[in-house]
Amino acid sequence: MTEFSRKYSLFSNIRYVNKVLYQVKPAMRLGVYGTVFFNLAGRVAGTVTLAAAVASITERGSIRHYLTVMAVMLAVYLFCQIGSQYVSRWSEYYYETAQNREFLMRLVSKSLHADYDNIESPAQQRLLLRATHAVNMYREGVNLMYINCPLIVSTVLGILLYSLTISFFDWRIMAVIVAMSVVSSLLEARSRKFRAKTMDEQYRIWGRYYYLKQQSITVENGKDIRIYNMADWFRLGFDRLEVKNWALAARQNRRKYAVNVSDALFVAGRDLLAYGILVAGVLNGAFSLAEFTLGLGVVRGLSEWFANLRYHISYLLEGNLMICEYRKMMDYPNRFLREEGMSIPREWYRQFPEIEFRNVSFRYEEEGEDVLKNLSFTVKPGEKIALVGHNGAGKTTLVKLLCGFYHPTEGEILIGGHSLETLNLDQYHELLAAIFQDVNTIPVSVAGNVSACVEEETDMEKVRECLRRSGLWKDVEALEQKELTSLTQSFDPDGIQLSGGMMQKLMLARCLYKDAPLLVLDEPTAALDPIAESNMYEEYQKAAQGKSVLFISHRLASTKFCDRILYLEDGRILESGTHEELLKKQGKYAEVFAVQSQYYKEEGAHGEVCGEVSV
Amino acid sequence: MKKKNMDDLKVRQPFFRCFLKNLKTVYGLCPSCFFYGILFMLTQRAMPFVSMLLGAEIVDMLVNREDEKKILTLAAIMVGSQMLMELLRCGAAQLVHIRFQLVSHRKNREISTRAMKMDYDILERNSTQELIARANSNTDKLGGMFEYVMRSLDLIGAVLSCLGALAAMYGLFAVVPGHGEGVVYGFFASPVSYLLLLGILIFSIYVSSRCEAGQGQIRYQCDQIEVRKGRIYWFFFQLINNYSMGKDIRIFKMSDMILSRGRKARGDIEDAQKQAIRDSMKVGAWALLVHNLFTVAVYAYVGIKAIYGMITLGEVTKYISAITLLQTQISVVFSLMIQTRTQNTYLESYNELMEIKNEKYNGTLPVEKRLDNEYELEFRNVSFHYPNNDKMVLRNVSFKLRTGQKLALVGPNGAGKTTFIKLLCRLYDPTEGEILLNGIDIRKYDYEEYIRLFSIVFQDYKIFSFSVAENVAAGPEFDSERVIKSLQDAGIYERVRSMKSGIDTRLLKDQQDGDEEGIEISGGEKQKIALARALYRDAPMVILDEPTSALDPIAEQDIYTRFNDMVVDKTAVFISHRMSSCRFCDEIAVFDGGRIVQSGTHEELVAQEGVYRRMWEAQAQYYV
Repeated sequence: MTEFSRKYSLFSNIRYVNKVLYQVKPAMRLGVYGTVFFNLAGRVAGTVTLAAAVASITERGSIRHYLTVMAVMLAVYLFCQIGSQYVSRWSEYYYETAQNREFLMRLVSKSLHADYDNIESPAQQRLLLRATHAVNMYREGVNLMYINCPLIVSTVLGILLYSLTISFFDWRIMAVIVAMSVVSSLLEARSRKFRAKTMDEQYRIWGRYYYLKQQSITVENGKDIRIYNMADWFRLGFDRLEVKNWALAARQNRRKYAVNVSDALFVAGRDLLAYGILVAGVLNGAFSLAEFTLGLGVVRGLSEWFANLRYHISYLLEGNLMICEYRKMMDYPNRFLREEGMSIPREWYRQFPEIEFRNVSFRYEEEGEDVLKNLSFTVKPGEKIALVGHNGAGKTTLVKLLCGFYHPTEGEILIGGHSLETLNLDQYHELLAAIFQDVNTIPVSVAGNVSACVEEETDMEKVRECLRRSGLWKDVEALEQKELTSLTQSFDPDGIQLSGGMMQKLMLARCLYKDAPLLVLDEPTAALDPIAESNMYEEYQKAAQGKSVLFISHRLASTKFCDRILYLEDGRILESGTHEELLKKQGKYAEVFAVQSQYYKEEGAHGEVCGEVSV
Repeated sequence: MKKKNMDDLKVRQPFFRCFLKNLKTVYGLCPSCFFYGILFMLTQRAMPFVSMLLGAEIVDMLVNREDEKKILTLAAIMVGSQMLMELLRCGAAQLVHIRFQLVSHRKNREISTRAMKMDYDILERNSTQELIARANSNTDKLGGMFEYVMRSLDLIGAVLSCLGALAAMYGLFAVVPGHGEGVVYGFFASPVSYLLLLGILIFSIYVSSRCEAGQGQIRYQCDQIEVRKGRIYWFFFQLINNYSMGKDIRIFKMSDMILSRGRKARGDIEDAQKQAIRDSMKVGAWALLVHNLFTVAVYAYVGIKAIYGMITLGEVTKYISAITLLQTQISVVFSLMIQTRTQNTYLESYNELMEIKNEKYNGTLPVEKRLDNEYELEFRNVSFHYPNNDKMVLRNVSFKLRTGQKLALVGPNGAGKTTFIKLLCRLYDPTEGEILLNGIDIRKYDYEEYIRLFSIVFQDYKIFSFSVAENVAAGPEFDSERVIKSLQDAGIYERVRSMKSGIDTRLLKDQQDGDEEGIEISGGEKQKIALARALYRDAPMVILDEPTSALDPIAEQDIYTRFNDMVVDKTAVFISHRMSSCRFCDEIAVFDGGRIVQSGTHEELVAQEGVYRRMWEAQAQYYV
């Protein structure tokens, strides 16, 4: 998997963000202009009011005139404030809505529909974290861009207006202000660059914090933590991280302070100059006192505009950086085909076609070693294959390849003669039902977990039937809300916690509900007691009727309902054949079977059970 | 209405007690942020006064046409002192803000520690889980504890600013005769006008406080909905990080269900927010109106006085700045108070969590260290049900575990085997009956010492994202040789040695410390590392709860033989669904429905009609 990289320009990002915002609420367009207008008008009114008051007092001395001027100024002021409040509140609301309903949901959707290997690797998980950060944090990413764009426009207008005013007084003040913002911008750019450079480090630290926090409060971990007294270990994990985080923050801060120092020095220079010019001007009669007040106000105001421009731009760029990450995630290409791929022929839904692994090798990116080595085999339609072998022999990887979660590093997988990579993966998944080693449920109703769709689309009768067949119904029936009971108490105090055995029955029910032509079972009985397990095998056998099956089990003999057994070792198929054939062969499989059955077979001597295979 | 609001806010404790308690909490986490915070606050607050007082002076000097040099010197003093203060302020700000993350992380560390140190059955309670979740999210709201302190200091600063502004306005009191006549002049020359201004000020303060309170209330109610629905929303959102779930999501096309659940929760939040904005905007408009009316009054009052010559032009600028400052700072005080009050309720969940007392009785009796490992455990008429469920899981179980005994626990799922173990290691205490160690109730022993008697591998053992060695030693300090020995005994050392950093290799892909990525290992490998952890501990009693379910047959055989050798002089309890594993145990106890229904050796049990034989036959059929 090669690293996907693409550059996004600032302007394309602005367009991208705005397009989504306007889709949620077309009026957001107006909101932008509103923000520009009120921001500008409010500040100008603020600057002018005091000068107008001074002018009226010193030049006219009429109470009526003074009160009229003040009333007008303050009416403008009030209008700006209320208007600005209205615009900002609503645009913030629509912004937040867009952020959650569109930006985040699109990310969720993208991630849920991405190729599995695009979300599994740590690098991808980190990209996902960064992309998430870009759209779910207040004052980060999209939020920064959205807030700062209109502010930049109004700030630029403000700068033009104020510069024009200042040019009436003296151009030198202008020069100092411009120099100040140039230097500060450069220093700020340096600080920002450093932050960007250390962003990955920062995310690692945050991610690790999150991990430690989650692990330490998770109930399931509580037993080990208590028995092995791990609390101090975790605490130390926090402390180690703190040292790292502090060092990073200190380096970031030093660069920020440089900006402050430069600013403070320039402000001092600017004010000295302004006072010098204005005081001299008033004393020699060039300026009135009102102009003096206005002049000071405009000088301060202009610096403020410049400073704001810097902040807004710097925030915009900061947000921009994160939006690049977001878009990178959103554009991350799937290597498997979806709609573009070949449609699955109708008849495949009835009978899964022949599967062929042709010289398939596979390695996970990070580990240099091949997990699967030049694997070739076929599974005929309706054939039931058992995969057995040591831990780490590559069984689960093989199944994941067949599920279209990974791409073979070499060779190809053919489904009905077509390479899996040319098929419409979404449709292909419709042909599969699977139970994986790591059992996962979501905290919706039992029925939802069985049907894997929303309640309105669930066939409740079918759910009950599947629960009955998987042997979970008698437990579910006893519940007050039956199949509508929520799993876990996360969001429903009346929810139920399933035991390991019940969980696996639920997984089976899910497969039964889907009734797909290819069934993949990865070591599904580890947590069952022998009687339940024996029942489960029977159910698997029933569920498997007329379907193609891949069944991974450590319990060799449980694979008897399979037509053929593939014995894997070190990523290779060592032996293949029926149970009887393999035993006759006296190879690896027979050896392992002998080990496992020896306890039971000795029983034969007691006359309880008869062992027919000798070691 | 106000009274009702306060009830809704659930501020049970008086404001100041909460305030001091919370400050003390943060002080405990990071004392230095107070020091720099105060420095920051003082410089921040002093700056406006410099320009207010000296600026007014400069205007007056200009009006009086004083010497240019004199004026400019004053301007230079003003500008210079402002610069120094600004440098100080920014420096302090950096030093304060660098502590923002620190406080939040230390707070999380404390929550985690608390969760890890509380009784297991308290942790497991739903109410505790909710409390932890609440403490976690609430303590980050409104900027978290760090902002709480900054806000508190700001509150003090705002009060100081108000006092300063009032002091600067002292001159307004003075009745200075001006030049003018008539009713209007008389009115402005008399203290009545001043009192009227004061009246308007008080009215405006009253209104703005009411508005702030109203807005706080609206925000709080909206927050409640956001928290509740937000949890659901975020849960579904975070599924995208769960790559293990990712497999099921893809195969079973769960994406539509997940998206629709998330959208629904989001929709509820949006409705609440919309309503909140409408409500608070009405309130906000009133606040702005009154605020501006007051400003008009101030400008009018000061301006007219200046026109009558009662105050100088410099004073006009001074008083206007002072009154504007006073007014904004008063509303700042109110809004900070409201925020602090709201945050008090947020931080209450943290305090509540920290104040949870462990209920389990912890004795003081030391556990006798015995080289001969003579520890006898006895269950005497033990019955037990989980706190949240009245159904008895164990019923009147009496049982003796002799030193050096190898005991197997078998039985159907849910028969009470794992519960038996949980009681043994005091994750729970029996509802009835007692458990004895060498004849003494185990509750009387010091728990830390008692628990050291056990090496346990639970069914749902956990491997964490640390190095192999740390996982084996269950801590940051380890004896490499013993780690290696344990890994060898668990049959995983060869694999570990082949990893890039040997026993220092980090495990699991997610969220590693540092640059190195962890490696993902299979279920069977994890299980072996969990076994190595139990071996490393070298406790006199070994308990394995289905230790080999993810192992292949050869590995299982291997582990069993090894274990048999390794635990010769120890007491061992095995839970397994693989009936074959019972064979090397001295005794097998068969659990069914919370009782021990059969016990004896394999040969005895298999000869009897009963649960054991049924289970045995169910499994043996595959090997014939």
